[in-house]
Amino acid sequence: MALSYDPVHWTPHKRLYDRILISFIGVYLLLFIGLQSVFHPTCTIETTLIRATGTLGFLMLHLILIIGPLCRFDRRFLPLLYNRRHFGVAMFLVALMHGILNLFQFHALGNVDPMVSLFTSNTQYGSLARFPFQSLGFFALLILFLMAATSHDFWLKNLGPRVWKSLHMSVYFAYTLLVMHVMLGVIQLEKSPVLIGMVGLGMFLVLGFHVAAAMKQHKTDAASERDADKTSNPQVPEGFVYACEWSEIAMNKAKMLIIGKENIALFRYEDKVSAVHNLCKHQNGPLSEGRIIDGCITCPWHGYQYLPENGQSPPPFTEKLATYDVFVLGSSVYINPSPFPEGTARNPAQISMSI
Amino acid sequence: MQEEEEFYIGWLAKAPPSFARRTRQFILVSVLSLPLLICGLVYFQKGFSNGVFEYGKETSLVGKFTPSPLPFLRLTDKDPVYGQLPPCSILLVGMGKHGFSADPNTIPAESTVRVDGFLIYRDGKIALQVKNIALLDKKSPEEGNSPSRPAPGSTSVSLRGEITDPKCFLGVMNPGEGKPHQDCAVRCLAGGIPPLMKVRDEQGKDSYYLLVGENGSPLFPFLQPYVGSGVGLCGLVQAHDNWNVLYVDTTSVQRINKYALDAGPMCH
Repeated sequence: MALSYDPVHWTPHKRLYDRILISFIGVYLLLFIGLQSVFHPTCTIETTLIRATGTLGFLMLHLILIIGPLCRFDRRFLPLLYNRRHFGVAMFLVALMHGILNLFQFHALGNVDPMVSLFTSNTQYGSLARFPFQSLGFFALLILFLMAATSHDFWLKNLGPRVWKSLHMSVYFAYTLLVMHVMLGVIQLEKSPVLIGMVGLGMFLVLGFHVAAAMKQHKTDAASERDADKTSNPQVPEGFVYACEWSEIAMNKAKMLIIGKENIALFRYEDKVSAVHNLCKHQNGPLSEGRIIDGCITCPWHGYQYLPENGQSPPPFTEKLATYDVFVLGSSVYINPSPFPEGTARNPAQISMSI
Repeated sequence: MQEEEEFYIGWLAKAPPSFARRTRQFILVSVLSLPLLICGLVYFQKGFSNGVFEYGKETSLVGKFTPSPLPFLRLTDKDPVYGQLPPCSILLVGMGKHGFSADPNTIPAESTVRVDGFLIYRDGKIALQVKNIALLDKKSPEEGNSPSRPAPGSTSVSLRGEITDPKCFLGVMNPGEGKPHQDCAVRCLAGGIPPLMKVRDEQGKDSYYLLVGENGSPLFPFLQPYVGSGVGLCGLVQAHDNWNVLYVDTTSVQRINKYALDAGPMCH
């Protein structure tokens, strides 16, 4: 969390992350160029650089896309997610290098402007085999640029998490364009089954991890759904819905509840139970997978914090969540799924008083 | 159980042990598999030609200038160039993605010239990227006899292959053919470099033809949709020393699968 918009709010973790990332990029490029000069000594340096940056960018995009679902299966991968946007910006820069090299190699020094050449040299959009694959790469790069340019928290704050998230979901469209860019481009020349297999394996991993993560999430959501019917127990105030037994919520942890359209995180801490909206204001992280640390709900993705009683980030931070009324009767926890305006203080339900 | 209780917060200086361990494992696996992945990506590429572009190494050649149907320099030097002894013709191309042309009043056909530039060669075919051309012995425009039509008795052929540009194909780019190079070939042809057709016979031996229209006219933009993919065509072939120039019957040009050797146009 940060109060002001620094270009990069450096933490020891981010420094380490970036050092490893830059080393990874450097090692990849050196290895590729070195091996290319051994196996294919007559290949020109321009072609070598184009292929090195193209394959590296594509590999990085696969890793970026896989990190998310990987964390759904094992949260110990979360350190990879924490600084993923640096990974994304680095990937964009590698892809940009690939794009510039291509534009110069194939379109510069001709009778028209390179950008005009890009869109007019091949106009066979009606044919799959002869499709102008370079334009696909251009539009994918444009999307990656938009994502890299808006990756900073300044844009996240000003666009709002929903718009920002929607914009950044276009990475899947960019990925689709890039798969087509590869399959309709270089794979039309390089017909080795090994190379085609590598592209296929990459697609399989990206798709497979996402489908498996979606199924897991669906299962979790289904287990979290509660009937929106109000309880008829006369001891419970009107408008409340049965949530769970308080013993089902581990100390300083939460339980996710989906009641109607409300996605709620029900936290147990000290002797209390409080409820807030489940999605973090930063990047819609699942707060119910977070912890109460130093009295604050802490998001598992980037460590954004909120006070459970009022859903407000501790001063001087200003993020606010919607809150809900909670009621404990005996061992049972009830919740009123009508949200209060973001940051509204609600008294936590006391467990000991209800027993 | 302790791992279950550990919680990672990115802005703290240290990650909990189980998170740090898993991240290290991920990095280790990535680092160890990286060389294997790159080896696969590099090794399984199709391979590259032995074409050479002597960029930066200037060569001066003396010969007769032939502007039509294509700009050639016919060597009069006795020294071999790239193993080719005279008579040997060198295709002249311009800088970047441009063809070479000279004002016929300044350099008439069959004049003796000295050309400075950078050699491009592959499989016995030679081109020269012209940096400078100097007139040594001027012919009058009437004296020059440079035919733009095929000579009587030229051989009629039906060919199947791929159309690209000779400058990139011979060595400026490697590979200078196929789908990835398609746009570049179009740009070179649009800039005035003549089209080159690569033909592979049943034994896998390649031969090359420079293409012009039936009356020696340029074939761009007519050939633009056919660049970079399989094409079948008919025409009259005429040897130009170590080059073959094909006068294409434009009505015969058709797109084919370049790997289907039995397919192709029927020639008259």
